[in-house]
Amino acid sequence: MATGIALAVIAVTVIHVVSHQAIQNIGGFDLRSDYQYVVPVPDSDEQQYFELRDLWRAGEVSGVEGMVPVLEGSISANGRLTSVLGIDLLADLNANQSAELSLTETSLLTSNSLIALGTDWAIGDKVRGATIVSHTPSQTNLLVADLPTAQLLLDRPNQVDVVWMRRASTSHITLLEDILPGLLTGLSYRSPKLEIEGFDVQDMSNWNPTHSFAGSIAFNLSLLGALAVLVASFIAYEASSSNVTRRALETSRLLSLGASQAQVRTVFIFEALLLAIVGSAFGTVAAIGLLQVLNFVDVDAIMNAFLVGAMKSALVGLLAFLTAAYIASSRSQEKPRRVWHGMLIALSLGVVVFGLLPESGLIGAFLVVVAFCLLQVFVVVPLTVGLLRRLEPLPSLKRLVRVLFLRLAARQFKLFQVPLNAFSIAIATAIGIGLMVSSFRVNFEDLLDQRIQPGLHLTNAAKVDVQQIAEWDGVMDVRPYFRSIGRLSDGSVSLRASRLDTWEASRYGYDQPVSDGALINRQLATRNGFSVGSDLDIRLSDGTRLTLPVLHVFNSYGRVESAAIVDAEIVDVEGWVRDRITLRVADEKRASISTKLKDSNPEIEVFDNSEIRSAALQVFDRTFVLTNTIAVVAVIVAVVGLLSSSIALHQRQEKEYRLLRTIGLSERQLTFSTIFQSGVFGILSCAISLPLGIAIAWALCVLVNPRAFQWTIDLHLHASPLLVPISLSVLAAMLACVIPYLIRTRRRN
Amino acid sequence: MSVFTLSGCNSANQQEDSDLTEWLGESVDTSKFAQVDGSHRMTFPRDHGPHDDFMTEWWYITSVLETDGKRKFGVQFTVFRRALAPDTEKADSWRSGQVYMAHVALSDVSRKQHYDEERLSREHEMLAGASDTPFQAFVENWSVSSTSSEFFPLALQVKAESFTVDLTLTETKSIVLQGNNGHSVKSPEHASYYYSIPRMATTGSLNVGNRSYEVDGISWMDREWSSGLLGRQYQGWYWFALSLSDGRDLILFSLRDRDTGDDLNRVAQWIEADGSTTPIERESWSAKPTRHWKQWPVEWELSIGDTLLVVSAKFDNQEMNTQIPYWEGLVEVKDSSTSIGSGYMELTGY
Repeated sequence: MATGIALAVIAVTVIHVVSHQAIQNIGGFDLRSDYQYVVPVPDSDEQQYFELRDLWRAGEVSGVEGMVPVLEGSISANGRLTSVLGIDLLADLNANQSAELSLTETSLLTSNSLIALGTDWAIGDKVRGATIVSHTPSQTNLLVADLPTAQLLLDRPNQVDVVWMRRASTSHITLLEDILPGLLTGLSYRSPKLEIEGFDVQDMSNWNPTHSFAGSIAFNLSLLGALAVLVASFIAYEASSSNVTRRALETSRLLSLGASQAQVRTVFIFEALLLAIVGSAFGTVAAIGLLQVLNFVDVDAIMNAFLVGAMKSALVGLLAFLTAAYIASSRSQEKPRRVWHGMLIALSLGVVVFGLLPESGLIGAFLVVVAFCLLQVFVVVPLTVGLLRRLEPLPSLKRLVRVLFLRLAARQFKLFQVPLNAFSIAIATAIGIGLMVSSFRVNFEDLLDQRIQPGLHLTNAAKVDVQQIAEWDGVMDVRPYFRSIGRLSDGSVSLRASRLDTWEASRYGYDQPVSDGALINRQLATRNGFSVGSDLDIRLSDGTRLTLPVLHVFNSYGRVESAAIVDAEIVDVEGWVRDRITLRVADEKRASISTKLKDSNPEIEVFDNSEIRSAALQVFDRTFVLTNTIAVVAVIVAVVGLLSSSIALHQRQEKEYRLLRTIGLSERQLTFSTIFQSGVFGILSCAISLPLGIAIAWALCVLVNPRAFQWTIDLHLHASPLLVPISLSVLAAMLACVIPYLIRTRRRN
Repeated sequence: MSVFTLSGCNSANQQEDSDLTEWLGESVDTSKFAQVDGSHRMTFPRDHGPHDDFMTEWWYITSVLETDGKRKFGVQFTVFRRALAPDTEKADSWRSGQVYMAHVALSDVSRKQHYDEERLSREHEMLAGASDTPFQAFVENWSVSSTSSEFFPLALQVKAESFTVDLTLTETKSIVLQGNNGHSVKSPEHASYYYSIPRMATTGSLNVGNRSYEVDGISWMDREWSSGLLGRQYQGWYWFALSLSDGRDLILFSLRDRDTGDDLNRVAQWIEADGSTTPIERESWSAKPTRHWKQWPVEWELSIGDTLLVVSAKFDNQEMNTQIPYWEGLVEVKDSSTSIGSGYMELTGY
């Protein structure tokens, strides 16, 4: 029992810290996170901001505690497209991040200074006359500035693009998010609708996809962590239950001596509490070790997250265990309540129907997974056990023995029903996650095959003379790609322009050349409600507008931002950044052209597209290591539970074994019987886990991923994600059942 | 006196820990701002407006108000200006190099309620700023401004979240130049240009908790600007601006030594009913706290020559819960047992 809670605490703590880090790493330095609303400013006219602010100060806008004017755009710096974010750092001193900036980086206010995020910067670098005074490594390439500096950089004096508004009284929401990272994303939480006459007030979520993406990852991880708690709770129940049964005599003596049922129950719960505390303490210490192994060694940086995670996991673990102990001690004198089972089954079916509705969001998708697990517990496992118990004995001794073994196995199922629930859910989750990951990998590989054509890929290529390269021997095609950032009425969009002929369009799964239209990614389509035929109305950085019909929606796995691809001919790419070039080259000339490119300009980075493909797959595999680890932890927790139940069972079965020895069965036959029973148990456990595993995989592919990340995954029933967990689980189950028998046999001898 | 000058003080309390305090003082080389050397001759209305070449400056107004039904209120409104760096040119409307902060507080004596709020903004014609003609000092819709081309009457208008203030202030006594013709020496290292306008007749309305009150009373205005910070040897100060029923006003303040708690630079002055001033020799007066609320000494005995005055807070909790906390509130003045006046007290660094 203590081992179970220790494992659960380890899992939940580590997952909490990892989730917290994921949000920090992906969301990064995010000034938006203090704000809940966005008001686009028509024509970037700053007077609109002042009007809005006056209204707020006059008390006409209720529920808003602060607001800041924001200017966004992009510039070409270091040969790459860099986003610029300018906010009035003094407009909202009560907002955490902007206040901290204005107080700690005072030069942001007094001179043209910048804070740089990304990998391309160093303190002291100059960008169009502004100096970088602080640098934070980040996946995002971003320059943060006080509003007037941004206006100067973007050459847009006296302009404001949007106004961010901060809600009053969000501390309870922040607290929830601290305790359960990603919860708000999972619940598809939106701030209460706010209406201000003459202004279009929007929720921040569309404007901050990075935050939602990080939240989705954290939520997925948190719920997988909850699995470990669920499985551990089953074990706690089983351990408490067998403890109660084993001490029935002691209990009856206590009752006859005048102790009440409640007092007896208190004794059991108190024992469970002590064990849970010991397990939690051990789990916390082990979690520190595991975090260090996982390279989260910066203790100061993670200390708060660690403390919250450890406290949360210990609390959840204690609650789960005490509840399990309470139920187990209460049930020792009661018959199973079938009416509750019926209600839970009905509830589970209802939850499935609810979760299938798109409006139920990410939490709905996960509720479907939970409901599947409950149906397993209350329908599939009891039915299987019932079927086995209905086997009729047959006359011949040999067959009688076989049936006896089978009946023993069936009985084992009955006695093991609770750990079996935990075991089957753990295996099913391992299968479900494995199937989802392998299916995702297939889709991802398909995408890479489509998107990454043989050839060379150049980055940092702003100074490359495209015409000159096109004339090189062996170069069959040269394609420059331009990037910019545009603004929609309700969010921003990453724009890429290139020659969109049939070859290029086919990279996005569209089979015709594109001249007057846009290809958009699924993230943009889902977030902003676009589909084929919708009109995209984009405001470009230079203030011009681009209105195009959507021709095709393509998948772009792993990408956070909304994106649109347009033909370079229809936009003025003058202010865009030409950050990439792809070359189609003759195979035999690939190496020499690559060398020639590097020699011609040392700044150019040349990649063979096949290298990009394998690097992308490596990143993919690394990403899912943690997910697979969580599933393995759940299986380990379940096996531990099985082992402890098996020890208890063998104590109880000692009489039956003596009887079998008396009627002449040899030790070898009994050993065979035990292995046979264990084998049947293991195989049937896995057999009943299989449908649940596939159902979980389906829910992850079809419900969870689209709702969390806006991409769908086609479910593929590959053999390896099915067979590996099943064979390992059969082996683990058999060992868990046989080891206690062998130990007892050795002791007897 | 002003909380802006707190930046050099080392208080045992929250001040030193405040990022804002640090920002206001520690990182700035004050020697590059215009210095208070006593050479400035005050001229009006020019000196009602901002002095951007000095580091800090404030427009401070307190009002002691009463309704017809004798319900008493106090109002404190201060606009602070702070130059972010010396020699900052106004590059554009968003970058003037000046930051404005405003504090407003209302004391509702009968309910013993104290409301306070603060705002901070960069200087911008639509957000915050100050000018001499016509006079105004404002942070968004909190302002004190002339209602005509003349300096008086002044309109004090504040729409805070929990109350509103709409007052008109008219002159009854002339401007009082503090120190030596407005050159007020605070310590060997620190001086300011300082003038006051006492006992301005005040009338208008207050709104608190959905109720409107017509009020009248008197107001006090302090104007001060400087570039120096108080030295580290100073803990804070006490400051009184009291209006007595016989028509006289009294200003009295002292800086306190950080180590000993002794008064280091004590200044006191009577402003007679006719507006003339009588400095009080530092040896002939003393101030002794007689009761504390939390760390704040909210009751004092002021001994000025043969006169003994007891100054006590109208109610204790008039603490300013602003980024830089201090105590600023309405006080009553008694001789032995009779109320003979009222005014405002400011306490910092306790």
